[in-house]
Amino acid sequence: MTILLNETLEEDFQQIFQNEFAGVLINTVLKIAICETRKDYIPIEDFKELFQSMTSSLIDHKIEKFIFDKRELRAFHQPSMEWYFIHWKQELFQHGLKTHRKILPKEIWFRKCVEAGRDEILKNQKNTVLDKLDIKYAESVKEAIAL
Amino acid sequence: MLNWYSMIRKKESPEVLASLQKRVFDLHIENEVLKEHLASQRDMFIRTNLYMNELQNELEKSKDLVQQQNQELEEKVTLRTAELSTINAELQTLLYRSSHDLKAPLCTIKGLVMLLESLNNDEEHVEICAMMNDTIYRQETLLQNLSFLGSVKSRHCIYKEINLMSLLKEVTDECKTKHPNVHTEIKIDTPENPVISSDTYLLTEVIRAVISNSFIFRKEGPLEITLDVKLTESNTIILSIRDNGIGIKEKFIPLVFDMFYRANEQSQGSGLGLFCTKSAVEKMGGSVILRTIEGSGTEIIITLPLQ
Repeated sequence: MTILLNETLEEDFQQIFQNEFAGVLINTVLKIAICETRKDYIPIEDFKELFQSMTSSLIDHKIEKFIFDKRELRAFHQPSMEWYFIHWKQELFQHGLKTHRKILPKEIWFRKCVEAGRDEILKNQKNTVLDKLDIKYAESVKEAIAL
Repeated sequence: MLNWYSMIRKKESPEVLASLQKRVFDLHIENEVLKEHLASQRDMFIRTNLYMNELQNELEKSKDLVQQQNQELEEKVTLRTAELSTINAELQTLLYRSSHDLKAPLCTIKGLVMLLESLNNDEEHVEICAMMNDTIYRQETLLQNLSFLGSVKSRHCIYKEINLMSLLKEVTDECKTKHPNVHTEIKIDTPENPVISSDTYLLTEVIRAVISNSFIFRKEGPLEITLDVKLTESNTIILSIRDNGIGIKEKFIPLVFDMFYRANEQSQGSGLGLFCTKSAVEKMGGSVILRTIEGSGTEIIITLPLQ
């Protein structure tokens, strides 16, 4: 059983990283990683540190599905998101991580902000692996695991 | 503030100073993060606003495009409707004129057959004349139906009070006259003084078409036709016309009201009688159903509004 910030899972996940902004958990059997944000904003350096810290573990354990739970976020830094989309996802794609599940806050305005941010990235970055990834949105981690 | 500083100096505590410096540094970092947070949020909202504006513009363009397409479609529909109306009017005219123009030579032939009948009493001669009369009658019925069909489609109903008993009697008598060689028994059962408000022309033609069918699709022996009128509580009138004719196979019942449909290959009808009947009844706001038993007869039940 795993207790998260917003829900409890039946599956056992092991925490591999945490700071004041987020926690990262993995299940090596299911080959799933969960990144759960804990603050309404993550500065770019902390954001990069968070993702760079988990990279080697995700590669070592051949993680196939990455669940990014952004429910606590209320603002995002566009350069951070660009880095995450273009560099981090691309790097992990080379190691077989193709399935991404995202959980957004309920607020419609935030979802529109994400849409706008993604639209800008897609317009500006033509040669990405984004079209090769399986990206879906879920309303909970439980749903994201099943999806 | 002065007291606070003097207190630190007084104690000359390096630990307190260090702690305060760290606190100031932490606050500075927090402040920087907050600034970045605010800047990100502002940037996010500006981007989203621009994105929403773009969407709005696209939506407006799509709306304009849809409106333009709608307008083009409307224009096409108007044009096609006008074309269809013209073609329809031409067809109506053709139907009306040709059915009327074909009647004249038929009348001449009819007169000549009558003359022929009077010339010779030979049995074979009489039989051939009767066959010719039968053919003429069917042709007359076809022309009548075509003419009727043309008028039904374009007609605006003219409602008048009609005494149904008189009308039924008039039509049945006329049909009997047209078939002097057919032994016919007609029973008419109506309520007392059955007056309805309907279109005399359409109703007359409907009754005539149904009774003509009874004559065409009769069996050997006397033809029995029963006309039964009932008034209902829901302000409708139900007219049943029943005969003891050849009837229709059950599987053909759903098709008998179709245009030019003949229930069997031997059928000598025009295939228009029941189609015209249904069109006219519906034009008068009514409905029609058919009941039949093959070999025993057919019943046409017409329901019409009383007013």
